[in-house]
Amino acid sequence: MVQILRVYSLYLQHHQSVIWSGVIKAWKGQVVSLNRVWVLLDKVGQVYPGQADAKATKTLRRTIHTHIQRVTHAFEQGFAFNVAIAAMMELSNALNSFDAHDDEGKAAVEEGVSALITMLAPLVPHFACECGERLGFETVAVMAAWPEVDEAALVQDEINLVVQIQGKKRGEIVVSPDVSQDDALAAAQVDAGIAKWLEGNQIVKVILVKGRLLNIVVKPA
Amino acid sequence: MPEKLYTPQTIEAKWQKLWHESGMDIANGDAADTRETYYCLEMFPYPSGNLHMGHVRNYCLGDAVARYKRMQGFNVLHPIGWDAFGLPAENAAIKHGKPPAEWTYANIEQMSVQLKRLGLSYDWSREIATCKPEYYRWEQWLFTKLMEKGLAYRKEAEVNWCEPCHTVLANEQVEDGVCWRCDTPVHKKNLAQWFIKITDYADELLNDLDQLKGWPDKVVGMQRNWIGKSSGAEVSFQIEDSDEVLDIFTTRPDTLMGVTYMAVAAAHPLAIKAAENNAELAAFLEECSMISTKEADVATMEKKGMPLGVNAIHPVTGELVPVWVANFVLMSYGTGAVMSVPAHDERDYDFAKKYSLNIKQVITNAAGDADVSEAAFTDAGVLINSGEFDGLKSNKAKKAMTYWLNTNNKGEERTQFRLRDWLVSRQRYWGTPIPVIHCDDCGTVAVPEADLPVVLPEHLQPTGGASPLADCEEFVNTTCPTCGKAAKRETDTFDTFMESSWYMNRYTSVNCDTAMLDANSMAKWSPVDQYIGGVEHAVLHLLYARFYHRLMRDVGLFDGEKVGSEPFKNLLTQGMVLLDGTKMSKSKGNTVDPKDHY
Repeated sequence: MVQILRVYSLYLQHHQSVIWSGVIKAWKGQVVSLNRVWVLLDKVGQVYPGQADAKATKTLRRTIHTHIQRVTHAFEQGFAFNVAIAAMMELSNALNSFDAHDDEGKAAVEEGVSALITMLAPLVPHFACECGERLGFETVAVMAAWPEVDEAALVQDEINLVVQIQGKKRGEIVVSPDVSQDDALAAAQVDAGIAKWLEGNQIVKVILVKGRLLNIVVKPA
Repeated sequence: MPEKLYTPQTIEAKWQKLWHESGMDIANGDAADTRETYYCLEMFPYPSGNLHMGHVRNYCLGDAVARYKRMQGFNVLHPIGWDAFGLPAENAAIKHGKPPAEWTYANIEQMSVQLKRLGLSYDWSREIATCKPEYYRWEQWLFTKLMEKGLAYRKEAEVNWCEPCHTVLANEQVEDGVCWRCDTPVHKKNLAQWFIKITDYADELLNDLDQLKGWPDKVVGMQRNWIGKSSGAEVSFQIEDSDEVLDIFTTRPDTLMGVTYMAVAAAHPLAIKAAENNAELAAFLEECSMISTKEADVATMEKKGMPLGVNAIHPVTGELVPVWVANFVLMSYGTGAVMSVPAHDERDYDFAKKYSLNIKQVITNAAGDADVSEAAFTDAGVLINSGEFDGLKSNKAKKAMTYWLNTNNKGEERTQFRLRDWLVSRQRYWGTPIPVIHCDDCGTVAVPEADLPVVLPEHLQPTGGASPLADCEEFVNTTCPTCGKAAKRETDTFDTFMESSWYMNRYTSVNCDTAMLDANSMAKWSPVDQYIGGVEHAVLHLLYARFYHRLMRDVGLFDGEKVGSEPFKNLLTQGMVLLDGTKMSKSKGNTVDPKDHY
C-alpha cells in the first residue's frame, strides 16, 4: 500500500511527531478517501435524468476553482500538505454530491475530476496516473502541468449580504457582489423581514462593507 | 462494486516503469535548458539496511515538492545518495564477521530497491555514496587546502572520549554528557587531534542567520544559541605569591567590585596543581571529570566545590579573594575560570550561601532599596560600594570599568563565542583517511594533490578495539612527500559529519572528475531551494554544512556572488515517528519496516 503510506506521510503536519498506533488507524481513513476518488471517476461523462440546474453547475465550477486556488496556496505557503489534502477531499465530496443533467454539468464534472487527480499527482502519483488513464489521459500526462485557476469561474453572480440595524442582524438580502450602497439599501427596504425594523424610524447613516454587510443606523422619526 | 475498487499492488510497478522511460526525473544540467531551476533535497540516508517510517515520511514530503515543482514547469534537481561511512557498519562487521564495506554496499543495494518501490522520483544518475574514493578524494583535497590556509590544525586538547565507540567526539556529538550514538557517559581526555577552525567563521555564521527567512525560527534560535556570542570584558586576577594569572571573561564588568571569590574548572591547571598534595581535592576533581558538560544539566545539577587554598588579588581593590574549584565551571567554555559575584548572580549566590562565602552588594535599584539578604539582585541598576564608580548606571559602569582595566593593564573589552573549533579526527576505521603523513624529519606533511586520494583499504576486519588501519602495514608505511624517507600515514579518519557537510553541493557536479565542484553547475543549481529533514540535525549537520559551504566558497570553488553564502534557502524540519514514546531509529533498534505495509 505504497499510496496510503505516502498520502498519510503527507497528511501529518511537518513538525508533528506521531505515535505508531495512530498511524495504523489513520491509514484506514486514507484508504477510504482514495477509494472515494476512484469511484468518483464513474461519474465522468455521465448525464443523469432530471432537471438541469445552471446555477448549481455554476456553483460547482466556482467550488472547483476556489479549491484549485486553495490547494495551490497550500503548496506555495511552505508545503502545507495536510491543508492541501483536506481541500482536495472537500472537492472530492462536492463532485460526488453533484449529478450532471446536461452537457454543461457533464463538462464541469470532467473539469473538476481532472483537476482533482492532477493535484493528487505529486502526492499519490501511481494512483493519479491510473485515474488519468481511466479518464483518457495519455500515459503520464496527468503530471504534465498543474491546473490553472479560471478567474471568471470565481466570480459570483449573487451573494447573501447581512443587514444590520443598530448593530444587530435583522436579515439577509440577495444582491450582486458589486452592488452599490443605494441599491443595497433599496433591496433591504423592500424585504418584509427587515422593513418592519425600519418602520417609524429615520435612517441617519448607512455603511456598506462590500461582499459582507450592510449596516443601517436609525433614530426614531 | 468490488471490481471497481482501486487495487494498488497491480499498478505501481507499471507506472514506475513508464515514469522512468519518460525521463521526467532527470535534472537537465545543460546550459541551453533555460527553464527556471529548482533544487529539492532530503537529508540523505545512512545505509543501515532497511528504510524506516522516518525515512518514508521525509522522502514522501520531498517527492511531493519535486513533482509539484516539475508540474509548475521548473527544471528540478531531486537527487539521492548514501551517507555511507560510520560506526554502525563497523559494529555490524564485528557481529557478522565481514568487512564494513561489504555490509554497506549490500545495504545500499537493498535500500535502493525499497526507495524505487515507493515510486520516489529521484534522479538516480546523480547517486552518491560517500564511502567511494571518487567522492572522499575531494574532501581530502579540501582538507589539504585548509591546512595550507591554517584553517585545519593538529593540537593537543582536552577532548570527549567515548570508550565503547573507542573514539573522540565533537562537542556537538555529546548530548546530556553522553555519546550521541551509544548513550554512554563521555570522559575527558588529553589527546592530539585534528581541528577545523569554525571559530574563524563564528561572526559570519551568526550574522547570516538573519538571512534564513525560510528556516524554522526554532532551528535558527538553536544555532544562534550554539554559536553563543556574548560581549563583555576579560579581566586578569593575579594569584597571590605567584606569577600565575587567572584570566576570566564576564558580561557584567559593572559588578566587578562585588567579586568575593573565584571559581575554576576541575581541569584547570591551578586546580590540578593544588590537588598534587591534597588527596581529598584530587578525588573531587576525578568526580567532576565524570559529570555531564551539557549546559542545561550544569544549570540544574547540585553545585559543589572545594577551596584550593590559594587566593587571587582583586585587580581594583587589591583585596584577597579565595579561589575555589567548582563543578559548574567547564574548562571547555571560556578560560575555565570565572569571577563570582554572589550578590548579583543566582548561581554564585547559592554557592556562597552553601559554603558561607562573603556576599557583597554593589548594585542597587533606582529607589536604592534592592535587598540581597534573601536572593541575588540580578538586574542592571546603579553602582554602590564601588569607590570611584559609585552612582554610575550599569551600562555606563561597564564601559567605565572596562576602560579602567584597560588603562591599568588588567583587562580589556572582549567578545566571546560559545562555539569551539570542530574536532574532525576519529580513531575509527570505516571513514575517510585523513590525508596526512608523519615524517620523523619533516613532521606532519599533507599528502600532495597528485597523490590523492588516500584510498581506504576496504577488506579490513574491525574487532571493536583500536582501528585495524593502524595494523595495516601496506596502508601505514609510505614515504615522506617532502624528503622521500620512510614515513607513516595518519590512521585516524574524518568525522563522518564531514561527508554530509558538502554532499548537497557535489550533487550539482557529480560527474566532474577534475575538481570538487564545477562552478557553472553550482551557479545553475545551488543553493538548495527546499531542504527537508529531521530537527535533530538543527545544530550538528546544519551548522557544519553552512560552514563547509563557506569554506568551499573561500577556496574559490564557486562564485559567492552568484551562488550565495547559504547552502539551504528553505528548510522543512519534520517531527519524528515515535514508537511507545521513543524515537524510531535504526540505532535504537525499534524501527517498523515500511515494507510490511506495502
